[in-house]
Amino acid sequence: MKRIILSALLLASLQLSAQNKPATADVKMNQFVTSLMQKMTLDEKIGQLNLPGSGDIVTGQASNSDIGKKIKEGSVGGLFNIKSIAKIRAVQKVAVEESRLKIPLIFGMDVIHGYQTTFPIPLALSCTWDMNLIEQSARVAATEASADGINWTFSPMVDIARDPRWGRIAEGSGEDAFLGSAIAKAMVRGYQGTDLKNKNSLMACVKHYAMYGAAEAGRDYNTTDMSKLRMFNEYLPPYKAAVDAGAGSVMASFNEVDGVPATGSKFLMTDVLRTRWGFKGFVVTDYTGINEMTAHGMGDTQTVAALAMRAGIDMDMVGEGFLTTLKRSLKEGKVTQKQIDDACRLILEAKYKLGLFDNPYKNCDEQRAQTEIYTPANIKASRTTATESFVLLKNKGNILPLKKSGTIALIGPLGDTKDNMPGTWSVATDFDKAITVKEGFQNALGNNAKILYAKGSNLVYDSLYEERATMFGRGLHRDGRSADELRNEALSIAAQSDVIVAALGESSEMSGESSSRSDIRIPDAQRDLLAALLKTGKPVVLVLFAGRPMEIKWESENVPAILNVWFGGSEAGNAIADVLFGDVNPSGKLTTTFPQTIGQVPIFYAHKNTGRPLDEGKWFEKFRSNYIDVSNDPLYPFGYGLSYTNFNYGDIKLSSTALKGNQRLTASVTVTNAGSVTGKEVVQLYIRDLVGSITRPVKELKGFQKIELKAGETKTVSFNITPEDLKFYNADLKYDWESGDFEIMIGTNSSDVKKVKINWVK
Amino acid sequence: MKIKNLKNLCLLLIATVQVFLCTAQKKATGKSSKTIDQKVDSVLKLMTLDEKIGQMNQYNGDWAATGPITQDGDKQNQIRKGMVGSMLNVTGVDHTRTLQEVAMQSRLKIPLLFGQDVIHGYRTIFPVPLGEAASWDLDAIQQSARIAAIEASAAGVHWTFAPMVDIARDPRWGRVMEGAGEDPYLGSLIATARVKGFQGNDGLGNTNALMACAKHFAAYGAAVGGRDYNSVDMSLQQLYNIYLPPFKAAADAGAATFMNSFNDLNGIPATANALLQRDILKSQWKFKGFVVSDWGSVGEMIKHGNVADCYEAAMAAANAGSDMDMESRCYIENLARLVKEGKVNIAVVDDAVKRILKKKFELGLFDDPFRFCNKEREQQQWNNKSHLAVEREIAKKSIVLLKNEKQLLPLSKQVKTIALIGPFAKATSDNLGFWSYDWPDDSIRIISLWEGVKSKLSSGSQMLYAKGCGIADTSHAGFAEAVSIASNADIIIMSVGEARDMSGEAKSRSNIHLPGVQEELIQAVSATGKPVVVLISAGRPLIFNWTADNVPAIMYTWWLGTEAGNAMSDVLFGDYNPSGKLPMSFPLTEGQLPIYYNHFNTGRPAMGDSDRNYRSAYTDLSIYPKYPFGFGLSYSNFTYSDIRLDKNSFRAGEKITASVTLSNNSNYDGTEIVQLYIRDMIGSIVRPVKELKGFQKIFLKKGESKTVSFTVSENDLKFYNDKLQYAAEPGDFKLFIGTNSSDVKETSFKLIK
Repeated sequence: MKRIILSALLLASLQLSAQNKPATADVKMNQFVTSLMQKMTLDEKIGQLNLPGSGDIVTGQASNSDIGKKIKEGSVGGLFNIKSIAKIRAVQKVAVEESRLKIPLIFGMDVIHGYQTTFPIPLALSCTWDMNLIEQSARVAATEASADGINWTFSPMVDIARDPRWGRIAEGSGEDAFLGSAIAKAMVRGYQGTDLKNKNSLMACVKHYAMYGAAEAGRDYNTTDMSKLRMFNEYLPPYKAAVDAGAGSVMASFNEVDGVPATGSKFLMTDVLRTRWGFKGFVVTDYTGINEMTAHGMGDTQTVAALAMRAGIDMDMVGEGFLTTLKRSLKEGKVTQKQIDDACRLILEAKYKLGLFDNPYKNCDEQRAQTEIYTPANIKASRTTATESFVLLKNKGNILPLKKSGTIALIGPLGDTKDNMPGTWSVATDFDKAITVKEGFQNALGNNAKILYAKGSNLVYDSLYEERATMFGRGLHRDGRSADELRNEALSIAAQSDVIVAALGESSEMSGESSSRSDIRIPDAQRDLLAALLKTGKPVVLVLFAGRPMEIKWESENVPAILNVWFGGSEAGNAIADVLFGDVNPSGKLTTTFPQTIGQVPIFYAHKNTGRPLDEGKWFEKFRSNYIDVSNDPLYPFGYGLSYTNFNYGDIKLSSTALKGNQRLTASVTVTNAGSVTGKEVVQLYIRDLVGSITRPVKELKGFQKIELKAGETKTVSFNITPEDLKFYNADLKYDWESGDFEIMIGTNSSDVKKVKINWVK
Repeated sequence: MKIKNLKNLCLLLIATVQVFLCTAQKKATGKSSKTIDQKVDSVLKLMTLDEKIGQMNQYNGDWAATGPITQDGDKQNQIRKGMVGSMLNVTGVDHTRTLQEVAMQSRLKIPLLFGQDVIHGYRTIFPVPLGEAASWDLDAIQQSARIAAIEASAAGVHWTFAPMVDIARDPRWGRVMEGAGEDPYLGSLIATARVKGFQGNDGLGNTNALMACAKHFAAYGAAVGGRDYNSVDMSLQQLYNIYLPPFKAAADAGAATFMNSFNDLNGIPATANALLQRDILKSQWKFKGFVVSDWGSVGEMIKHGNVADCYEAAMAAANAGSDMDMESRCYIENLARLVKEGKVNIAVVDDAVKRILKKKFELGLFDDPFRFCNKEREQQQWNNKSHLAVEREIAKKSIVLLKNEKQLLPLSKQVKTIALIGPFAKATSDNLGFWSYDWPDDSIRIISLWEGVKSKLSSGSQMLYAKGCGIADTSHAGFAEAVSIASNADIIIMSVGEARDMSGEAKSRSNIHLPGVQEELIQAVSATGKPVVVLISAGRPLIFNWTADNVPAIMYTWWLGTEAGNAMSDVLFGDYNPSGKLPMSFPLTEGQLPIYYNHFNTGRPAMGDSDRNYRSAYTDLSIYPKYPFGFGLSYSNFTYSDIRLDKNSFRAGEKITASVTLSNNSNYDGTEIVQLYIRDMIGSIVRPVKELKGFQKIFLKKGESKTVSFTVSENDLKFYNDKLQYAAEPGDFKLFIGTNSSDVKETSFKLIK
């Protein structure tokens, strides 16, 4: 029911945005903001550009706190990561009652994958390939956060990432620009709803603009460098999609791009974002992004603040570079009055669009806070979404799903840890309510089966590394017993069991910001545990927790069944039980390539062919582009994921093989569920432009459909292809398509496709 | 490639070529070059279109091949018809004479050029280029190239496909062995030295001068994932500041030819890249030589998906400035038609042919096509003992001492029992490395470590040997024997590493640890408790952390060439005090790649390994490499004083002098490579944390001190900004002098407007 309403709303919003909104609203906003700005002093204008770090607010003392004083002076435009209506109301009160112009504050928060009801981490969400579910997850997040005082979320993160060492790969939608764009749009729609004025809307903030995910060596905050061509074709599309979907704000990234920090890049912030894409919202820096340009080597605080202002940055997060230097820079001619006015106007417009001038407390409704947060419906949505995000990597001999009977040994440091279920960046989650795997099993099995649990090992042998990997209170309660004792305990319960479920992998803080790993295997202690479990000869199911694609070649060769569960959110344990015991048939598909070895990184499916590609079916040939010690294949390709059933693909049927101009091509396949259970399949369409004025990828995702088939059922899946799907940015950065031959590919993942060739001329 | 776009491209290119030709003519002032230009013109006038295209065609002799070969008809017949301008892989006076005689039967009797991969020596094999780079000895490097030229030219060769000047930051890439490492400054100086060495100080025209060929143009070393031939993508600033300088240096040094690269750069294969070949090389740099494709790279653009067929490939490559087609046959089969159909302007063809003919004139081949075919000279240079002595010198200088705990090295020649263990202990041809020639007498000529050590030891010493394992073995079967002889020895030398075909072209490795079970062998032998010295032979930086952390003495010996065993022994026994310094960073793990010293600071730099949170660092690994760029120990102990500057600021046109006192506080005479680095603190674009800007090789007797001075001018501070203008920016700079890129003294100065 909820879903139907949601789609109805969606439709309405699409129609609304399709027409141009009545200009009268804009005119009214302009008049309001203009007249307000006429009253503002320069200091007050600069104050609007300031988003200070507030620390925690003590209710009742907001007015007298340091931040309270600044608010009264008109030196604060907004605050972020303050949780609870009482605190938010208290500081807002200072702004609208004690500051001269009574301009309300905007309240931001890192609402990344749900609020209190926490959804799977974004990388996991992307593996659902289900835009409705993803949009719904953002909608639920917006509803809950907006009921708790928040107006603005620093999400979606839409950075394309091809290097699994990078910890923040957890926060995005993987390696593909097409899928990433679709998800970016869904997230923005979900957060912002039909109108920002609605009390349950959050303003979205697209981040991290731009190319943050291309950090060299996967090391967070590191340099990025690439051609403009690559930017436009491979990295920028999701940001553009989010802007096109109406995202209200954009966050600048920490990294430099081609020698200029993004925060100081006029090319990015003005030439591309505003001039090319027509973005009308405001741009906020990342945390101390302006000040960090000093470390980048761009100058002192005044210099870099002026650089940021000239580039097109509107709001300064935490560093107060604008607040402390812009006035001087204006006097010295380093920035212009117009630049400051433009920035101030955009921020005031955002507040206007959110309806904060009408009701500064619009998100401070105690009633909503009590009834709309962590509701049964939201929890259910989270659980459903989680089940769809898991990716079945291997299921030899169909040992999954498990029977709900007998004795099950649940073993591993991730088997019973509430703190590690929600995943990185879950600032509003209630860890105590998170469902662990063990609890999920208990809920699913009741008295029908016996569950034995042992930790089996600590997260990792190195206790200092464990400390770094369990920050923010996400402890794993390091067990003081020796590795042997822990393992023996596990082996003893394994001996009493019919099947072993090994809950292993990363802790939730091993991915995320500032959590790059050079070694992306399952940590050492757990690898040893897993090897010992396999030696028992009992069937072993690996439930793999991960915030990134991991290097699991050995596991893929030795463990009969692997379910990659990422970090599934509040309901992770229940969702895992749903899938392991067959109540839900897994349907997630990878959105990142899994490497065979770290030495293959970066490896991604949409690579170029090179002049010396391997012949099909060969792993090594002399004088071809390959390594001498490993094949060019990934361990698991982009788009990969198994089901408890089998899907058979028919050959591709085309409406035509020779097309001209703006004709439309229909490509169809029949997909048959050849197994014995109902299942969902993500049918994927890829296209290759065989000859281009620039070298073109060997394939690019251009469409997908998630379908459900009953056992034995066959459906025809059709994709409509137009020249729009053939377009790319050429060497002149013109977005266009070129006449010639194309390969149309449809299949179950990026490596396993049916293929036909067509010709399409202008 | 789409025809419509091409037409525009064609027009543009023709315009560029014409403009270029005009400027070129105006600037040709030298008297002799004028005569050559006139001669070239007069030959060109006689040529039919087919004969012109023939000059742009290069075939392989059937003696060696480094790529998929296209089958073709009778090559001699084609030479006779004037369809071939050059042959590669034809060596020896007899072979080259035979084919040149055929060329003399052609209508215009235009001599053939004979090209060859003379990469690090011909008859005498020198250290692989990366190893030579570790000597930081430009004279020695130049001399090695000189000898290669003397020997190869005596065997009828006119032209070497070297130096390879690709900057490489990814040791997975097999071809790092062929270059000078990661640094553009060092790389530029070495490029210059090699060009001068190959071509000789007097340049082309001497019969012992080889034409150099700077390759692979450009940015080939930045292959994604370190996988050979893979795509390359980067900003133009990075291209200009990091990857192009050694090419520019080679062009400035007068390199006669350039070779383009296999990779695509920012979506355009280098072979069809007009920005590289026309705009940068021939226009901005005023390069007067010709550009040859890499093996088949014209045709390989079909696989790149940039052209549909050989016809389009020929059009794209010729228009972009590739003058000669190596082995793809796209030119010979399509260019005439392309000219007739107006897709390639005849001016493009004429320009290419003139460039090629000019070099043939400069080599003196029109005067005497057989001047490189002197049987007597060939025999003289076949066993030139003086060349071996030079080889031994540079091989010693290339060795890098990585560790020497408790001064285990140098070893005493009076040692009672010495054990040599490992797959390289008696190796001969594996000492040569990739890109070297196998000669019939190699097993006698190449000095193994065993022979080298034997020649050093006194008569009372006993030598024991066990192989222990093969290079890539997975078996431990030989360990017991190795451990047993180790137990009976006073000192153990272990020689391990990569087989000669594990680095090189198409030899990328995803795993750059010591291959096979070699490190386990080191562990097993070390467990005897006996002192162990490990020598590592390789074409790239390898990972050997256990060895590095547990074995007392380690020498990196690359692939040192014909005299390898003697050079290693000279260092082991203290007849030469090691002085080599790494020209590439050595990573801790593959997961740390790419890692290089001249990185940017980022906005969140980690200041150390205890400072990782919210810093640009991994959670599970040090921020430092295992060994930094410029690292290398000596038996001497060098100390550096603080830096003295003659002034704290200077203006354009002025200079600043930075000095340190270097002291040798040890009992060994030794050589230190003193390194100067500069950091531009604030730039209009972000600037590297350090850039090498100077170095000096200083010899100090034991106990001696010397003042080492560097002058810095505005020129040393220039870089390409985001508008690609080459300029210095006034402001604060840090200046560092030290023994490697991590261990430096530091001061600062200002450049004033």
